[in-house]
Amino acid sequence: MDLKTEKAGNTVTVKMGGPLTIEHAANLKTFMSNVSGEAEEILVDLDGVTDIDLSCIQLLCSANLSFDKTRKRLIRKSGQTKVITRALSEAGYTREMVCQDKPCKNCLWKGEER
Amino acid sequence: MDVQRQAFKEEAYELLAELETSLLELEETPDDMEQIGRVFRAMHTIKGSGAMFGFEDIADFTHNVETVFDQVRGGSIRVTRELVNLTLSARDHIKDLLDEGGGADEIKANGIIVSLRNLLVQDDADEEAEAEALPEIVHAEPAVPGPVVTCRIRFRPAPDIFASGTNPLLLLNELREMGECSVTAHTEDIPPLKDLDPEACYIFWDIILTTSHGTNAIKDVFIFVLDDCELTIDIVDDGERVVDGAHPDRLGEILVRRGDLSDKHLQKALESQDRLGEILIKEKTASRAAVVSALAEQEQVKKRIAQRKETAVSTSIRVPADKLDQLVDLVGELVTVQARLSEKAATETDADLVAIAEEVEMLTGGLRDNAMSIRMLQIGTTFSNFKRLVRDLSGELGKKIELTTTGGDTELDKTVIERLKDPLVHIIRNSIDHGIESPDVRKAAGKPETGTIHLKAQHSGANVLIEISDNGKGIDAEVIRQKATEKGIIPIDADLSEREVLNLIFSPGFSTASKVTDLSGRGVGMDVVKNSIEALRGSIELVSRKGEGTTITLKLPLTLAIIDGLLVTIGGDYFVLPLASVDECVELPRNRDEKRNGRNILNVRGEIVPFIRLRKEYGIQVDRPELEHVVIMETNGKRVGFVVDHVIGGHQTVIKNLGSAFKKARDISGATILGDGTVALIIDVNKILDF
Amino acid sequence: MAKTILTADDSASMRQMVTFTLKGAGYEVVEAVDGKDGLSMISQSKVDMIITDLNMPNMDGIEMIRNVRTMPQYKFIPIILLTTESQDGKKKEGKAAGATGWITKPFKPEQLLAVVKKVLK
Repeated sequence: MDLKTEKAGNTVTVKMGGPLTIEHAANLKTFMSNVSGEAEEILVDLDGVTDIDLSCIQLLCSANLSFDKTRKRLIRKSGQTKVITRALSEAGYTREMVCQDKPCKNCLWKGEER
Repeated sequence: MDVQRQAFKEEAYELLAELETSLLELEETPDDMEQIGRVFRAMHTIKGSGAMFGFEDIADFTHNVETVFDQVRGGSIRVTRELVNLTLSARDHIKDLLDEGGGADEIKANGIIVSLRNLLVQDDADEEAEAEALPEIVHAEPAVPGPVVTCRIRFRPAPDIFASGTNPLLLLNELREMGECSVTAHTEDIPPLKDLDPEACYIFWDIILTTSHGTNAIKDVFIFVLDDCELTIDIVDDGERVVDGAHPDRLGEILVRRGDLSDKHLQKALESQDRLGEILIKEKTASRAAVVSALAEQEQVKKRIAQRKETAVSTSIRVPADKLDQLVDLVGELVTVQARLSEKAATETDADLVAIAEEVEMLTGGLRDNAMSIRMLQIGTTFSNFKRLVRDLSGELGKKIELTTTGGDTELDKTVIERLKDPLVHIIRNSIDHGIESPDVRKAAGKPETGTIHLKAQHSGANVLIEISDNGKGIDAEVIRQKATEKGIIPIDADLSEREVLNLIFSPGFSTASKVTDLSGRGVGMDVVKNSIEALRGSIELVSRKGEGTTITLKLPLTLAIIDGLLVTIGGDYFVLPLASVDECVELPRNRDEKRNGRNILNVRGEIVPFIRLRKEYGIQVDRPELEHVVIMETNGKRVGFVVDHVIGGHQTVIKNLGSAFKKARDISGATILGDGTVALIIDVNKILDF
Repeated sequence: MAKTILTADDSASMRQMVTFTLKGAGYEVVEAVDGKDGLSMISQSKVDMIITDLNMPNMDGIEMIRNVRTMPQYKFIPIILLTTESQDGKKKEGKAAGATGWITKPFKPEQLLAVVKKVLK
C-alpha cells in the first residue's frame, strides 16, 4: 500500500495505491486519522489501488462518517476503477443502499456504477 | 490414483519398518515419550493415508492401535511387554494386508483387536465419543437438485473473523454461485474512525438467494464460521406457492417478519400516504439496507412466481378450433359405431365379443368426455369484453354503471360461448338503456348514484346458469299486462301470475324497438334473445321487483354436441326427448283416453297435466297401439305431457345437424344415428309448445 | 500470478496427493515434512495459504498454526487443518489456535479444491 498526500489550499489530495487489504488496515487507519487534521476537504484518489478488501472498504466508510461529523468533507476523486467497482459489488454495497442518511450523508461510494 | 496407491504402499512399508524399531526400543525404555509419539504418528499416518488411497481394511484395523497409543500418549495406559507384543503382531498383520497376497489372518486380527480394546481406559474413550461432532463438507459436488426455493439469509460474522484467515466476501461469492442472489450490506454498525478496530468486521449482510441446493448446502458455505457467527436461513418462497393469485409479501410484512421493524412503527408509517420505504428510512425506524434488502426479496420472489406462471402457461398448446371440431365430429362417429357394437354384442352369445364391446364402450366414453372438455372455455373472457360496452354506453347516456362478475372460471362449450355473446349484449344493453336509472333519479330514490350490473356464471348439473342482474328500477308487471292485452297476446281476463306476466316480454311481437321507448321497462326484441337461447337448447327466465332491479337467468347446456336423451318410438320412427327436462313417464291406455271426450288433459295424482300427441304433430299415420305412453316434461315452469308409442330408455347421443334442407323443420333440433343405423330425430320441446 | 500454497505433512503419500491436486488446479505448491520445516519455509518466501496435517513430528499442526499467526505477514492467511474423523476435538482446538477451516481424511481431490476455493481469493 502506498499513500501520498498533496496539499493545495484547503484541500488535501490522498493518492492511494497498491493493495488496500487487511494487512494494511491498521496503517490506513492511522493515516486517515492524521490526515483529517490537515485540511477541511480531503480528496481521495483510488485510481492506483490494485486490490481492496472488506476491511478497507469499511475503514473508508468509517473515515467518511467521522469527517461528516466534524463537518469536513471526504470526497472520492471521480472516475471508476474496476477494482473498486467489483469489490463494492462483491461486498453487497448495492446502488440503492448507498447511504444518504445513516451513517453518512454523503456516501463515499455514490455514483459508482454497479 | 494408482501411482498414489503405490506411493502409499512404499511409505507404509517404510513406516512399518520404523515402527518395529521403535517398539523394540520402547520395550527397553517404556517411558520414552518421543518413541511413543512416533508409534502413534506412524499408526495415525497409516490409518489416515490408508483411507485416503482406498485401503479401508488397513485403516479400520490400524484405527484400533492408534486409539490405544493415543491413550498411551495421554498417560492413561502404560507401555507393557504385553502391549509391545500386541502392537508387534498388529504391525505384522498390517504388513500382510499391504502385501495383498491373502496371507492376512482374519481370526488372528480379530484377536488382536479384542485384546487392544481391553486395554482401553473406558472414561477416555467415552469422552472421545462425546466430543461434539463438528460438521463436515459433505458435498463438494451439488447433490441432486431439489426444489427451487428462495431463502433469506442473514449473516453477521464474528468481529474477529478476519483473524481466522476468513474472507467473508468469498463466502458471499460462493452463495452467488448457487443461484440468483442479491446481497445487501448493512453498514450501520460501522463506528467513526476513532472507535474503529481496523481489523474487526462491522458489516453484516442480508442475502436473498434462489437456489435448488437446499438449506444444508447453504450452511455448508458457512461451515468454518458456523460456531461463531450469527446465521439465520429462512425460506421465503418454497417454490410451490400456487400460481394463481399468489403475490409476494408486502414490504412492511417482510420487514416486520425479519424483525427489522416493529408492528407499531409499521402501522404508524402506513398511516401517512407516502411510499413506505421512504418514510421508514426518513424516520429511522428501519435502516436503508433493511429496506433495500426487503425490496430485493420482494423482487426476487415476484420474479419466481412470474417464472412459474410462465412455465404453467407454456405447458398448454394452441390448436386451430376447426381441428377440435373435427376431433369432436370423429368422436361422435366413434360413439355411434360403438353403440352399434354394443347392441350387436348384446344379442350374441360370444363372451369375448361382449367383453370387447364393454371395453370399447368404456374407452369411447373416456375419449368422448376428454374431447368435449378440450372444447370447454372459460366464460370470463366474454364477461370482460362487456366491461368496455358498459363503460362506453353508460358514458353516452350519462349514467354511472359498474359491471361486476363472478364465476368467470365457469367452463362452457366453445360454440355455446360464441353463440351466447349476442344475446348477452342484447340483455346488457337493455339493462343500461332501461334498467339503471340516471344518477339523480337514483339519488332521489335513495339508491347509490352508481348502478351495478352483475354477471354471474355457475354450474348446475349438466347445465350452466348465467345470471344478468341489475339494481335498476325493475319492471312494472301491470304495464306489461296492459301492453300484452293491447297487443292481443293475452285475453283481457287472463289469469296469470306475476312471473308469467313478466315473461310475456319474451313473446314474439310483444314489442318492437321503435315503440319500446315509451314503455317504461324493457322488451327490445326480447323474443329474439329467447330464440337464440333456445337454439342453444337453453331456457331464459326473468324475475323483477319494481324499484329494486331485474334478474335474467339463462340456463344453458354444457355442450351442444351431445344430448342426454330419452329414446321413444312413434309408429316405428325413433325420436329423442331431452332427458334433462323429463319429469316422469305415465301410461295412457286407449280405453281411458276415450273417456276424456277428446280433451287433451291428464290427471296425474290429482294434478291436471295437458298433453300433446306427437303423432299428430308429426303427421304420423300409423295406428296407435293399445297402450300409449306420456312423457311428462317441465319447461318454463309448466308440466306438459308428450304422448308417444313406446319409451325405450335413456340414450346419450351425438347431435347431428339436419342441414339447410330442413331449415324449416323448426320443432326438430337435430338428429342422431342409432346403433343399427336408424336415424332418430331430436325433438325441440320448447318450439312445439310455442306453436 | 499463481497463488502459492504450503502443504505440511509427514506422510509423503499425502503430500504427493495434495500437491498433485493443487498443481492440477493451477496453484504453486511448496512442501514441508513437519511444522518446524513449514515455519522455516514460509519465513523464507511468502505463501498465500497453508494446508497442514495435525500429527507431525517435531512440531504438530496446532503448534504450527499458533506460530504462523504471530508472524505479522501471516496474521490473516487462510490455514486449513487436515484431521481424521476421530479427532473432532482437535478441530476446535485448531480453530481456536487460528485455523480458518479443516478437512477430514479421507477426502476426495474435489473436496480439497472446494475448501481451497472457499478460503483463498
